[in-house]
Amino acid sequence: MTTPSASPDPARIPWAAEQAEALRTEIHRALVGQGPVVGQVLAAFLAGGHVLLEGVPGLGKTLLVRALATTFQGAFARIQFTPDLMPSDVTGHAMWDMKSEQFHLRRGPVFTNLLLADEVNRAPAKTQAALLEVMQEQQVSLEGRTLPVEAPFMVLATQNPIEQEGTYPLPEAQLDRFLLKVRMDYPEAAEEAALVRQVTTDTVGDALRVDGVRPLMGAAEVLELQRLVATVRVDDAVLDYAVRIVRTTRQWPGIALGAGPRGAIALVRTARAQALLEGRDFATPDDVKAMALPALRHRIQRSPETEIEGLGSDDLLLALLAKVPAPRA
Amino acid sequence: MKPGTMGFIPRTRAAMEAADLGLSLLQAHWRPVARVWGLQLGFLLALLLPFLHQTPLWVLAVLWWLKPWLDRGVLFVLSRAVFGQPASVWDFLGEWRSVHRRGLVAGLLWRRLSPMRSYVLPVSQLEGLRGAGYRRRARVLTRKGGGTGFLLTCSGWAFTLLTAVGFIALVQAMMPAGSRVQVWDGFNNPGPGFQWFLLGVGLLALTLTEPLFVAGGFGLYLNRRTHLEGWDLELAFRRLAARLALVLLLAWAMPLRLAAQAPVQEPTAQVPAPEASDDAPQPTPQTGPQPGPQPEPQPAPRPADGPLRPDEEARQRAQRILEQDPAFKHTKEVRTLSYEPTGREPRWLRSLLDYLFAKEEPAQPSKPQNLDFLKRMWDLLALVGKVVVVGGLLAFVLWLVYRFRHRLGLPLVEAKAWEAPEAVAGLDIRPESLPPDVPEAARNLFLRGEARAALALLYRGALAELVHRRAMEIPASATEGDCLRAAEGHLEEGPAGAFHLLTGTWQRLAYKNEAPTRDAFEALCDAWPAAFGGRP
Repeated sequence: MTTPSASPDPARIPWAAEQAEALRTEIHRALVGQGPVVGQVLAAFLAGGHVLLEGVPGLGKTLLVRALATTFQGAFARIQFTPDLMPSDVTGHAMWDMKSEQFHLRRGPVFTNLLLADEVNRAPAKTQAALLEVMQEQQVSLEGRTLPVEAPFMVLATQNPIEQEGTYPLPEAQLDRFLLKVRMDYPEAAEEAALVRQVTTDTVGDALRVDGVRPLMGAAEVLELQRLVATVRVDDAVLDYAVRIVRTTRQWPGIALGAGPRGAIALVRTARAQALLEGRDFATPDDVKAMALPALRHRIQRSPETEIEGLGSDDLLLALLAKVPAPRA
Repeated sequence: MKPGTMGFIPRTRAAMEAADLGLSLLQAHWRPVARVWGLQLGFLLALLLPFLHQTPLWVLAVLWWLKPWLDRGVLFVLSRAVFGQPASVWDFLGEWRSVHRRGLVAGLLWRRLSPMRSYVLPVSQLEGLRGAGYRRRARVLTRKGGGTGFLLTCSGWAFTLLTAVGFIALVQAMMPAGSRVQVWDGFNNPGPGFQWFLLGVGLLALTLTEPLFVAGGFGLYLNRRTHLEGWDLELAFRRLAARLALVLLLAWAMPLRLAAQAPVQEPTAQVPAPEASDDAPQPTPQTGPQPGPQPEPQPAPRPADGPLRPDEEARQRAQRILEQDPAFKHTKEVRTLSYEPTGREPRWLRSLLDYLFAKEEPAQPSKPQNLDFLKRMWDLLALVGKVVVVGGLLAFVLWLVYRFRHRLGLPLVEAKAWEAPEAVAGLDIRPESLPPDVPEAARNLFLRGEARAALALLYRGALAELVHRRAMEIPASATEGDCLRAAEGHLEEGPAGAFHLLTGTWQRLAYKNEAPTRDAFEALCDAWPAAFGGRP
């Protein structure tokens, strides 16, 4: 994550909360409904993490990312992952210039602020791994040179939960790099009606319309917001609660492999962002609990018998959360 | 095997005609064959479908592989029908063990793809030969007619295939004009419906052709044995012997009648008795007219002499061949336990031994015992079925009563009574752990500088109120937010507002370490009794 250039002022947390709320409102101008999804994506954005979006096509994943990019005047790039996509198509490559008789670096689409990796599981592991370095280190190694990616940087990868034919499931190491795995479900009936009305009114074709979204801040403000999130107070009891949840996943029946320490780190980071989104400068166990599902669902592996019974990761985590005692300081 | 009792005329036939003989046998006895076939097929389907109902083509494949087992039922019926014995389904069940005892495993494994399967099937099933004996016997049998047996197998395959294809074509032809359904297209993408259709077609084809195949092979087998053992000759001899016996009887009867009418003569006129030329027991003929009553009629005396009487040497040679040649004689030594009652054993032991050794008693035929055993098994199954059905019905009725108990006016029974926790994550919420006056005690704590303890007391007092007096189900895993959401549905506006304020204040103190001001705390204490009713 970007190192803050100056120590953030905790007194500006109310301003940050206002800005976060304004971001949410602006995104909802383009994307109708999907409140929890927007909240979780914003939490990951403010916490400086990456998001894996899972949902069937046509729910507005791309629209969400474009709206988010528009709110802070950031650069936006999209890569459609295909089986023949090469790592150089993601990170960039060196090109021989006949005139100057020199190699010129041609930067790939990862050099942006918001990267939408569409259907990330359609590309083979080699190409998926090309994202690993830039996600973790926020830098790209090209032709022996290390090129930093401009902050803020966030990857929003999408994958389709239904089509498994011809896909390459993301390796555990890469799944762990995503701060949150957000499930995008079909909207409610009223939301869907409003969405259809909004999209079809005064619109030709099926172009994504984000022109209603106003830019609210620049990259510098986003970085300040992210630094302020890091100052949100997390009491020992809350931190202990997050750790207890993660540790319980390792002994919970039905979970073959529990979450690692990165799970607890993700939980606390996103709990901070969630507290800010709620307008608080301190995190509560509620924030941890609210972020437990998206932060942990991709970090646990179900046991074979659980899979046979048809229980999903969310079912297991909900049962687990109902049993882990909440702290009262 | 007595050729005289057979239901066909044993004579040497050409192989094709022999196969046709088998088909005629099947034609004459198709009803019992169909019943036994249906029983076996139904049994197999009942066994296979629960496991393979999602892949009907596998059912067909397994049935195809188990055809030798199905063939045994057909052969059982035909082999009994040849001698005029009944072959009902019950007879088949009664002989279940003997039908399947010999060579079934070999028939299903290494002899499954034998090119002359139906021809040599009787060797293992009817003659009970195994191993080297089986191979020698099969070699002897297939020396003639083997080619026809192979052709029979090939034609069996062809007919089965043709029947199946023909039936599919028939179904396609029966499709109404303009229908878009193309049955043949199912082969490109066989969905579940098409697989079931293919299973049905396969069963139909098997049912139509397999009994013909077995019957043809059995005809070949009968013809070969007629060849080898001279059943036709034996039958001819027997007929000849019977006819000659009649002639001789008449020849004997005539002089006797004449003698009865003539005056008594001296015994010197006695016709000399023929010297027995063989050691076979011969009826002693009345050799002369005797005074007194008419002689008793003699039971069909064998001819005393003539071309049909084998000499001693020929008899011994025939006996030797019959005893030594494995093609005719198969000796097997069986040792078994038997039981002779002494009369001194206790009754229970006697009944147990009777039960255990009942099958070994030669006096009792095996078939009724097998049937008894089957009947007992059937009774037991019927009892179990009855219990299951009655129990299921009873359980269903009870479930209906339970399910619709609210409509029947029955008292609703809580599935599980909610047990209020004594502590919610470290906060003791038992009513007895609280002081009589919670706000007053909290005030005292606050004045002593123990703001955290004071607010904790107010908060857990409120929780105790919610859990114990308002019977809200708050588990130990509930966070403050969960408690707040749960309370929103249970509390009126006033208490809900107070609880919201109290929770927010408590969260700021607990997780931000930000104590409330004295005024704010006093406001909380003032609102507490009205909201949470004093001591719970």
